[in-house]
Amino acid sequence: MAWRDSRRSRQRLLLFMSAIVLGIAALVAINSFGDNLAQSIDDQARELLGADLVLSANDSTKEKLFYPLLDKVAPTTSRKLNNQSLVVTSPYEYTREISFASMVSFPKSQGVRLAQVKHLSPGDYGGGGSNDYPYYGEWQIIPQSAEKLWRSNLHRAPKTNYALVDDGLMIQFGAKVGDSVNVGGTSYKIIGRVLKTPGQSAVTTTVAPTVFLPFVAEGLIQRGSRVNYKYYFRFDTDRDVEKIAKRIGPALEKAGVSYDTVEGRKKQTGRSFADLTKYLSLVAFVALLLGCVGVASAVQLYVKEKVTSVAILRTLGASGRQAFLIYLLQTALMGLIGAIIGALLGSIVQLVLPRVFGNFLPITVETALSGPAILGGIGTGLLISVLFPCCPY
Amino acid sequence: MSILRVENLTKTYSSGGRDLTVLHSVNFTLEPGDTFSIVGPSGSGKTTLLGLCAGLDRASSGSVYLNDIRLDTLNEDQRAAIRNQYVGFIFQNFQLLPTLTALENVMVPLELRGEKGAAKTAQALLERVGLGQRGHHYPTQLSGGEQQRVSLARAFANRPKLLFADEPTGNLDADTSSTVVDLLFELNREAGTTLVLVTHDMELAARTQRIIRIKGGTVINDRMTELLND
Ligand SMILES: Nc1ncnc2c1ncn2[C@@H]1O[C@H](COP(=O)(O)OP(=O)(O)OP(=O)(O)O)[C@@H](O)[C@H]1O
Ligand SMILES: [Mg+2]
Repeated sequence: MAWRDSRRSRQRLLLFMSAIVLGIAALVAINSFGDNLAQSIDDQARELLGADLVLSANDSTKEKLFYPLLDKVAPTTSRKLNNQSLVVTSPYEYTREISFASMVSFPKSQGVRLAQVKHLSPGDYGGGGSNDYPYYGEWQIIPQSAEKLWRSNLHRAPKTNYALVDDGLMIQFGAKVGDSVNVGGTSYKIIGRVLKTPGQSAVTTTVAPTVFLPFVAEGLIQRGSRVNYKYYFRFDTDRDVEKIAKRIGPALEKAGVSYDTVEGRKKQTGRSFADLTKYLSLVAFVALLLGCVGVASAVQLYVKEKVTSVAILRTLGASGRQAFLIYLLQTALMGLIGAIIGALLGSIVQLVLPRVFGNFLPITVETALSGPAILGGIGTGLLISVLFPCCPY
Repeated sequence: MSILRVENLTKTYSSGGRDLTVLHSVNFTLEPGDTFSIVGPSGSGKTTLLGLCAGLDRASSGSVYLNDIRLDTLNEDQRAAIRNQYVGFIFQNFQLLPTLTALENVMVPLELRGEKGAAKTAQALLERVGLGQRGHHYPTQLSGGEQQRVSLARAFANRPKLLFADEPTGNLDADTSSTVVDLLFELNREAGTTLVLVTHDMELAARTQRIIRIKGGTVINDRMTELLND
């Protein structure tokens, strides 16, 4: 009966349904995106950091402090081999990164701009120095072979003047692989364009594009230059890095060294995107609110139309419950269908959202269907479609 | 055992702080199978009386016994159940559900009872009123006379003991009226239903066994038609 009766008022119900569809679609899309974002941050926090632990300081002398601190919580072991030579094993390895701002110029286009210059080298202490940063995640460099060339050059002596340059910077000055770039009076050959490095989004590199140099030439760092030193650590898998960080953290901070761990990065990234998700939730909420207004007006029309029908049904002996159910069932059914369509639509839209926001995010948002978001959306749709008709007008 | 007994029925509407007494102490009793009409000028309270008899509204004082069940002690849903069980309705403006087809409209009282085979019973009734082929049409696709025939079929669907007809021909032309009225009396006779007919039409009223006249909410005349015709 409920179904049959709905035939003639399908148009009204369709209006009602489309309001629900849009509201729920927005809700599901944004909640799914939020869920996926959180999941991706969780999954990729290590790649964001590129290491287990990152220490940063603004002068080179601090590196001396790490070793004794670390040695207390993660000591190196040494043992003598038969031939009396000493083998030191360290539970960690680390890469040192020096970065500072410098003017770079592209002779071909005569373009000049301030860029972030970075140089990576093995750490000096604890026998754990390595050059293999990033330990997690990867550089995206074109051509791919440039990374190998780059790393082998680091072990050569003397090193060749090779440089890796940020993609955006190269585009800005129309530079190609094989061109040269001048930094502090020295010319380097560009062997690859860097698309992505761990923890950086396209947007942050636009603000401070990076040029990687194989060595820091004499005089490039002048007195008073602001230089940042970062130390990327990778620990043996059996080490609890969070615990280590917690134990040496206070001493490090006292020495003016800040530290970052995977957990910390997760929290921090989560926090900075909490604002984005919050904003998006607000958008979804407004969409839903508008949807509700649509539902309310559609339902109002519908109810107006049905008042006589209910009266007739009552006259023919329908109980209040029967009459109510017949019409509630209709709106609930339409609400359910609307909500399901909305959830579907929302799930499709959320597949597109990462493409829209992709450049702003330091991570790749894996798009998966979010069960809670979909169920929540359908539930909400059903709820408003059942509650609004019950409201007195 | 009476099928409908009305005792000292009084109805007062109060609106805008003023009281309007529409029915003053109305009394009558109907035996099963009676045919009965209520006549009176417009606004005299006929529809109000019918509504009270069917338990659609509550009296201000007095009581209505339908099949010896006192209506004013029951709640809305209980009265609705009584209606579904014992009462059929025909209205001046048909009151078919616009969203349902003719057949489905006839099925409604049966479905509300949860009766099986509603479609079959309804189809038979439609055939009885000569609309066997029109079951799939919506009310708007039917003429007034046809709609009233559908509502006749609907009224008899639950085999009511009591049929209330409020000016069933009020919206129909003379020819259509006579078809509908003939059908009404035929069906009524076949089913042995007690008929309560409200009408302006004295000729129509004369076809029932008994007529009461009301004016200003008071019964001014109550007699058997045989006497009237004499
Ligand atoms: N809900 C109501 N509130 C106030 N007054 C009402 C209400 N319903 C009916 N009335 C009044 O009660 C009186 C009787 O109305 P009723 O409909 O019973 O008359 P009727 O005899 O059926 O008239 P008609 O022949 O025109 O159908 C009228 O004066 C009407 O204005
Ligand atoms: Mg009337």
